[in-house]
Order: sequence, then structure tokens, then C-alpha cells
Amino acid sequence: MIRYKRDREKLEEMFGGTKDILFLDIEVAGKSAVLVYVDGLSDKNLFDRNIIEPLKKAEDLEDITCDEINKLIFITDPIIVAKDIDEFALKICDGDIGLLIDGAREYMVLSLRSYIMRSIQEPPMSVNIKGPREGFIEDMKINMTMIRRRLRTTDLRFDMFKVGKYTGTSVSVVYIDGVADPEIVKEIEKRIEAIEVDGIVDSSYISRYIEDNKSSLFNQVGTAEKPDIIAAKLLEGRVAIVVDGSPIVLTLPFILFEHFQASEDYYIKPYRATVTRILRLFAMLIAIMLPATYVALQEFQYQLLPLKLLVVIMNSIHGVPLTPTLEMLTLLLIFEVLNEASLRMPKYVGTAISIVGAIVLGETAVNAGLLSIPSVLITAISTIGLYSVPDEVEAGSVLRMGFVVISGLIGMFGLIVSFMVLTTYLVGLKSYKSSYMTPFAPLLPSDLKDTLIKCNQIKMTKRPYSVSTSNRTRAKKLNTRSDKDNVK
Amino acid sequence: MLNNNTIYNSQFASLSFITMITFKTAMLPKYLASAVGRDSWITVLIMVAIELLMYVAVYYTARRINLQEEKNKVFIAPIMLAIFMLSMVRVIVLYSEMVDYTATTLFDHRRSIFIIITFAPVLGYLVYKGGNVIARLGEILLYVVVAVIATQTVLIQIDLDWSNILPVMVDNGDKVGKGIYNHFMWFGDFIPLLFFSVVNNKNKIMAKISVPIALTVAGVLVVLFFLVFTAAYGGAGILVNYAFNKMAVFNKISALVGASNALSVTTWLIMALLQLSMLIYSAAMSLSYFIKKKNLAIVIVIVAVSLIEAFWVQNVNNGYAFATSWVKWGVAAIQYTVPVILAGYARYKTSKAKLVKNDKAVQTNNQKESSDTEDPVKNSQLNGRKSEVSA
Repeated sequence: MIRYKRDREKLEEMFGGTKDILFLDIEVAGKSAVLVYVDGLSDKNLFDRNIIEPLKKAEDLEDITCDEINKLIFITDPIIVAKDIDEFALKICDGDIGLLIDGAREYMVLSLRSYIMRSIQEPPMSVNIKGPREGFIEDMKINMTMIRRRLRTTDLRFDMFKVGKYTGTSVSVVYIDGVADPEIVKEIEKRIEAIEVDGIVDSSYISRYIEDNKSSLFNQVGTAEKPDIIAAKLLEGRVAIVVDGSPIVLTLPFILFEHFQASEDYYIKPYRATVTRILRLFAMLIAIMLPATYVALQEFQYQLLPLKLLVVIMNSIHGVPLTPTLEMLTLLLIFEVLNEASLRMPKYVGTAISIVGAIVLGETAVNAGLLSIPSVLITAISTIGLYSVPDEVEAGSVLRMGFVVISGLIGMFGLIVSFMVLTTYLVGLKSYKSSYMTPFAPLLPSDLKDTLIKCNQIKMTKRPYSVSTSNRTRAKKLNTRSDKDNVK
Repeated sequence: MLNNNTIYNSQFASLSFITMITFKTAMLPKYLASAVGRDSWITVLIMVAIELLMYVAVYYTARRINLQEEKNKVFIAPIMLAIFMLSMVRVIVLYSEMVDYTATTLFDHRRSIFIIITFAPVLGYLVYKGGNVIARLGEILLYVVVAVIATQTVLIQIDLDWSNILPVMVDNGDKVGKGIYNHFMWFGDFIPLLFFSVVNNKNKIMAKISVPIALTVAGVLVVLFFLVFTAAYGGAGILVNYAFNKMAVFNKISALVGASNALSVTTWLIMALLQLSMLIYSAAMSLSYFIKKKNLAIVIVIVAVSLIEAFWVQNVNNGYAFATSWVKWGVAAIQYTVPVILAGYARYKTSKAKLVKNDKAVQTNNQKESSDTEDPVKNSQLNGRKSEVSA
């Protein structure tokens, strides 16, 4: 049995007179009652019509319980019973409506959440020509619904957690029971439960806590902004993490090659997908290595260049006051500054900045003899390559600057040695039982069907071996010969 | 989860392929051209055949025992000491070759001490990451190695005069013999592989064929390389440093894209780094058997090798003199006996383990039978169940 007066006073004390929490006193069957809610988080019309009015009209309640109140009011979600006053207050903060009635047995929580949110749109970083266009938004419930709509199975699980002392952010671990490896699910949930922090404001906060190697430059947690991608990953045996307030859903385990796969690869013919994947890998290599190689060739190993190209470069760099290394570093830094400015500025100002960067800075600097044309060209090619794999932009931009510095100091030798160190580092990385460079190291031949070469979907009858799963088979082998016979 | 030195067959195959090719195609063609002349390919053929047999012994051992976890101290301690000494000697010789290669192909004027100091932390890092990572590195770099070898083979523009190879062994093989006993250091690259423990790939075909194919292809490539080298350069082979690189200098596209042998330069350096990391790994692991601290062992080996290279060996000529001195007999003795002894030990241990397993099975059967006969109630129940089942 609750103690109405004491609990109401405690609630008022807990909220400390904050103006967004409203206390609405009413009478329910002749007993004092109060509805406590956050202003603006509930649908006011429904609140009036379906809750307040029926409660005020109630007469002679024998026993004030959850079941009795349920019979009176008109809401779709069943009434939740909070176990104590603290949980009751937390539910109110979540956006629910708390109902305290003098003489009631339980702390009742009614859900009628409604607030303005961003509409479902195509995410700017995952644009498709073919395939679904809807993307996640900041509301967790909507995101969960979008996943559920694609996986209509009783085996789909959403395990809920609350993280953050002050934010109390809802985090949901999503997986398909019988497909995902239970050990991985358990490990992820263990790491989420162990998070002790003031607040989680985005899913990237969670990823920093749950990745295997926390100081790494490389992402070890996958991200996706579209429900079709998440559904496909769950079907491969991966686990997803949905965080309230974030349109980016995390996936685990994660391997490096996922960066080179796009959702559209699965909606178009495999030949085209193969070509684009090879191009993406090539673009990434160019993005990271080209500026450094150019610097190394200019500073140390110019004899490796073809004579005609060497003459062109020599003519272009004539009179440039900076050394090739400094020139390249200056250009890369200018690009980073322009990039930051155009991202943070309003759209129309951003466009202006791009024009200033491209025409005024680039062309004027070249005409003034401060920078050479080949360096500007190489920076541009490298940057275009970098953005062909958007998820690797952060690591790629840091790496290319590091490589430029090393090759400026010791040339190709430094580049080769750094490449070895980088590769060693990458093959040593792991993400929840999966090697980061798999299926190339360790080699998993059956997984090669969905790497650089993209095979036809119907040939991929097994889930990838690079992800630990409790059920390897995903499709029945298609007997193409008998199908043809049937057609005949 | 795999141990730090447990690798798959395919990774063993990759490492074997790279180690078999790397240092045999750098300075060795020049050394053999000088010592043996046109018959150098026969020296290589014989040594590669012996090496392949040794690979079989090493593979047999690596599939059955994990050398790092062996507890028979009386037997293992002398083996570890021998491997440590062999690995250190080989590292000293081959390191000088790699440093000289870097200095002559990638720089015009750099002191070798600078290159030694740069390589040391890189090798230390590779070894620190462990056998498993070295094996994965070998696996992923194999794509680059194979691609570059294939490209250079297709594009090679070389005037071969096969008469340079003939006549064969006019001196009844005297020079071939001399070539063999002076150049043990460049054969027997399998010793570091003893520190890996091999498990089967999940893919059954891969598990069966990867090692035999890798070794056969590598063996054939090495012999073929020497044949082509002799046919191309004839007596002038004694002037050709780093044959792997020189063979790629002139090719069909060099006029179009510049020095396309840069690919070969890069690839050989990567292969050399990998092989040296394996040798340092084996030196460090054998040393850690005595001092019990792996990281300390790595530091000791790296520092020792750097100091020896910088202040004692200094250049590739001194390295060659050291490799062909009395040290070669020690090297030969260790590299051709240790794998055989370890294979015998692995066989003995496996058969012993089988015997123990059989004994245990017999004992449990006997116990079961005796307990069955001692307990009439249980017997009747069992008999009853049996009869139910048979009914």
C-alpha cells in the first residue's frame, strides 16, 4: 500500500520544483489523486479525453488496483507498476505519466508518450540508387519497429538496458535467437552493464566502451543508419545495439572489409558490385598512400619516375619555396580546415567556402608560385579516394598525414616499413572472436564470396565464417539444373 | 581460442613459401655464380630437395607438438640452446644482407647504422605481436608476393641464352660440392617454423593441399630462378647484386611507367622483414625458455643483433665472410639434425599418448565390467533395459 501524502511530498522534493514536471491534482472515486508528468511529452488531447475524464467520472472503486484503473481509462499500453518511488520517478522522467491515488496499492505508470521528432528520411551518408531508402531516426521505439518490420520472427530479441547516471539512456541489444552466438550476446551485455558514466548522448559513446581495443585508430564497431542493413547483419549472426537518441545503430562483431561493402551491392547484379568494391579498395589505398609516395619519389627516389613525368614535375615545382613534404602537409592541412569549416557552416555559406577553397586558395596559390600543380592534384585525388569509403575517413586522414611525414623523412624505405607495421597491427586486431582482417588473414575461402568478388546471392548458402554464429546454414542449395528442366 | 603460436595449415604454407624464396633470390645467385659457375642451379636443386625433406620433418613436428609448451627439460633445453645459436647466426648474416639491400636500392647516401636502427623497432614490434600475427601477416602478404612475381614474370624482357648452362658438371661436381658446403646459411629456412603449432583449416581441401602446393611451387620457382639467372647473365652473374631486383629492372613497361622494378624492391623488402621477424621470433622464444620472460628475450635479441650489425658485421661482405667461416659447420649440424630429432620425439610422444589413451580406455572398460558384475541389482536393471531395447 502506498502512502499518498508522504509519497507525493517525496516526489515534489525529488523533482525540486522544476518547472517542466507538472502535478495535476484530481479526485478519483472520492479519493485524492495526482497525475505527475513531463510537460510536452504526452499527447494532451488523448490525456484529457482518455485518462483525466474517465478517472474523474469514476465512482465507488472497491479496491484501487492497476486492473481496476485499466478498466476505466482508454490507453493502448498496459499500465506498468513501479516497484518503489524511485522507479516511479524515473518512469516519469522517461516521459510516462505517474498516477498516485490515496489508498491505492500500487504506483501506477501510464504511457501516452508523444513528442515532435524528425521524420524518417534517407540518411545522407547511405544514399542508394536501388534499394530501401528509409533511415533510422533519434527515437528508439521507431527504430526498433523498423527492425521488427523486417524480421517478423518470434526469435528476434530486444534486451533492454539503462545506461548513464543522469541521462538514463535506453539501450537495446538486438539479435536473432538461434542465429547469433549466445557467448557474444552475453559478452556485449556484460560490457554494457559495466558502463558507469554520467551520460550517454549518442551510440558512439557506447561503442567506445564496448570495443576490444579501446585506444585503436580504427573502428572496431560497425555502424548503420538503415534498417535493411541492420536486418541483413542480424541475419548473418551479428548483434545490433540501438541507443535512444541516436540514428546510428551499432553492430558487432566487426571486420575491416565491412567498410568496403555497401547495402546497394546486394540489390544490384554481382558483377557491378565486384567492380565497385575493387574500386573502393583501390580508392582507399590511393587516398592513404598517394601523397606519401609522391613526397618519397620527389625527395628521395626520383629515379623511379618515368623521364617525361619527372620533367613535368620538375617544371611545375620550379620556384616553389616549400620542400615537397612541407608543401604536401600544408595542402592536407588546408584541406582539413576547409572540410571542417564547410561542415560546420550553414549550407549556403559552406558552398561559398568550397568555392573560396577550390578557386581562390588553390588557383591563386599555384599562380603565385607558393604551391605546385601536381601537389594540388594529388591532394584532390587522395581526398576523393578518401570519401569513397566514408566510414574510414577519420582513420584515413590521420594515416595519410603520418605517412607523408615518414616518407618525407626517410622516403620509400619509411613507407614500406610503416606499411608493414600498419598491416601487422591490423592483422593483430580482433572484434568479439572475429579477426579484423578476416577472411584474408586468416584465410576463409568460403567467405571470399562476399568480399572483393561479390558472388550471386543464391550461392551464399552459409552464413559467413568470419562471424561466430550458432547456426551456419542460411539457405538451401539451389539445384539450378532441375529448375531449368522444370522450365522446359 | 587459438594459442599465440597456433596457426592454420594455409598460414604455415604461406610462411614456408616466403621463407623458401626470399634470401635465396637476393645475394645467393651472385655467391653461387662465383663459387660454382654455371652449375649453380644444380647446387640449388640438391639443397632445395634436402630442404623440402626437412620441411616435411618440421611440418610433422609442428602438427604434433608445441615446442613452447614442452616440459621435458633434459631433452628440450639443449635443443633450445642450439636453435637460439642457429637463429642468431642466421639473423646476423641475413640482417646485413637486408640492410645492404636497402642502402643500395633505396638510398644514395645513408649510413647503414641509420637503416639498422630503423629496422630494429619494426622487427621488435612484429615479434612482440607473436607467432599468430606473423603467420597472418605472411598469409596476407602472400597475395602481394604472388601478384608481383606473376606480373614481373609476364612482363620480363630478357635475352636468355640457354647455352650458358651447358655443359653440365664438367668437373664431376667438385664445384657443386664446394658450393654446397660454403652456403649452408642460405638454406634451411625452416627452423623458425618449429615454434609454430599447426592445426587444420576449417576448409578440408585447404588443409590437405596448401602445404604441399606451396612447397612444391616455391621449390620449382627457386630452381627455375637460378636457371634463368644463369641463362641470362652467364659468367657475368658474379657482378649482379640482388638478383630478384635486377631481373625486374628491364621489362616491357619500364619505358612507359618508369622503374617498375620498384614493385620488386618493395616486395623483397617485405619478404625479408617477414623472414627476419620469424628468425628473431625463434631466437627470442628459445631464449625465453631459459629466462622465462618473453618480452625481455625479444628486447635482448633485438638489441644484441643491432649492436652486432652496427659495430661488428657493418657490411654484407663481412656478413658473407662470417657465414662461410667455421660457423657454417655448426649451422649445418644444427639445421639438419634438430628437425629430424624433433620429428622422432614427436612420433615417440604421439605413440606414447596413444598407448596411455588405450590403457585408460581398457582400464575404464575393466572397471565398468567389474562394477557391473559386482552390483546384481544394477545388472538386472541394465539387462532389463537391454532386453527392452532389443525387444
